[in-house]
Amino acid sequence: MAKWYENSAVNEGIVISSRVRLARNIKKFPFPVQMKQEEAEEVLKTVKDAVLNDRTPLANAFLFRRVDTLPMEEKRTMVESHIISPVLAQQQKPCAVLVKDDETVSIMINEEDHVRIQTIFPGENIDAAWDLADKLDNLLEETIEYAYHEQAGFLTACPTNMGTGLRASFMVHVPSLEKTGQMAHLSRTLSRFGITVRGIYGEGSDSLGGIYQISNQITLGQSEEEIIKNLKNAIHLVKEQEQKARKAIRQKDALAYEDQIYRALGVLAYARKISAAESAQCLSLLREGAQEGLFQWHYPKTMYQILMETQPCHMQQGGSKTAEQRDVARASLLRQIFQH
Amino acid sequence: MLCEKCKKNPATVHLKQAINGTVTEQHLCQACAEADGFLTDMTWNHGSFGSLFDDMFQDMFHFSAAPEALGTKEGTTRCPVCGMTLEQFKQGGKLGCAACYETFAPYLQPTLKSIHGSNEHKGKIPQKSGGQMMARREMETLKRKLALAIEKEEFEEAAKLRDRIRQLGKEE
Repeated sequence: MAKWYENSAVNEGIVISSRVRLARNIKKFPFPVQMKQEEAEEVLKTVKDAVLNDRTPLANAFLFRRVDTLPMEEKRTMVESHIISPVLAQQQKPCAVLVKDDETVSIMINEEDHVRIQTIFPGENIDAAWDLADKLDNLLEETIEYAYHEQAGFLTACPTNMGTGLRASFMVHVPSLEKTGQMAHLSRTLSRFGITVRGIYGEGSDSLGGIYQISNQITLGQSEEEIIKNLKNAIHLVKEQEQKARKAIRQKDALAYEDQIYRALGVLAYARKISAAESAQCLSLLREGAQEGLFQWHYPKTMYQILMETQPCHMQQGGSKTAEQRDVARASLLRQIFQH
Repeated sequence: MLCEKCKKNPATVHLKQAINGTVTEQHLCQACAEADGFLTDMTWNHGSFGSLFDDMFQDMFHFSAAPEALGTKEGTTRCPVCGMTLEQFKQGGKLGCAACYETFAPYLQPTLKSIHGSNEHKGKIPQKSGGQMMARREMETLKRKLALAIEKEEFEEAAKLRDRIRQLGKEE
């Protein structure tokens, strides 16, 4: 089953992917922060049964994975792949995730809320992501009664998520805005419209390779459709600004612009050891170069997939390695891809 | 209001207790409430009370702190269902259960306004628990449309809307 990040749409525009997250809680249980071990187990079972039952055609496509009992390394790898959040990786109480085979859907159980439905689509596709999340939400609701209040909407552990419980976000690649130091300014402008700019792995994370997440902050007082429309307007502005910045940089010194991109290709194709940060930087330049028409992206994987697979925990798979051993393994993996 | 017991300190803990249908109310200060064991024995710990606290008990036992006490004696505001205190919530930023929204409402309301700019949900309504709400929301929309139709003198449309409102009223 092809994964969402293998789709060429991930490589083509400023928007890498579109994601929707719905936070829900089950009426009869306390929220995860206050629940007992047995209650946590019961929540796991309730949600699992709601998805993996004979009545839904989805059952075969989903895999249930218990998370709290996994080794930390494996959990971190799942975080790097956006299957689970850093919060779930840290959760001590019984917790799990239901993952769809193409990784477009993951339903986290007992994260900050009982249920976190997440859908990710390649490219600029937020409507499809919302549509699917909405349907999954309806499916769960067939057997689960949610904590809901007429005026307050869906009740969540953190009041910043209450109401719709919806976080819609675009993962964007904006290397030129980053280079020209415009991200801070843009972030301030967007916050006035209830839009937040975060790092690649969401709250509290840094940007990597010029990648950011842009999402709605407000969840109460607007309908899901209004929230998504507002976010689309914001993303339009981000795209415009990035294109403008790219053009300005290229026009200022076309030779230097091309040179740095081809140098990045040289590093990826021939380096003998490379850190995660440097490879992210080079991959970012290459993605931009291909978009700007300097060369064709004829490599077997999308930039985002390579970026993900060269993250520290992914590189750690198959036995423990020192930082240098990881850098050597990373360089070797990159050479295989870029010496084509 | 002064504490009913010591008559010295302001009453910050308000207890409503229903025993065999008779409701008694007590207004105590923190110290007297603790001395009477109300705050220590009834830590509302889910661990020991969990199974006891079904809806019936929750309705019978209503425990809350006066809004004016929120700024000062925060430790006294405790969610009767999950045991979360206002102080814990302020520290961790996470509520313990659905009932916390009610328990901490005086503190939450202004916060919500500043976070979201609104206090009212306008999004999705769950099918199961939201049947009545959906009907009510539809009713409101229809009534608005009806007023608008009358204003614009679109009487044919207004008649249709009126019939729909009547029908919806009967269904409820």
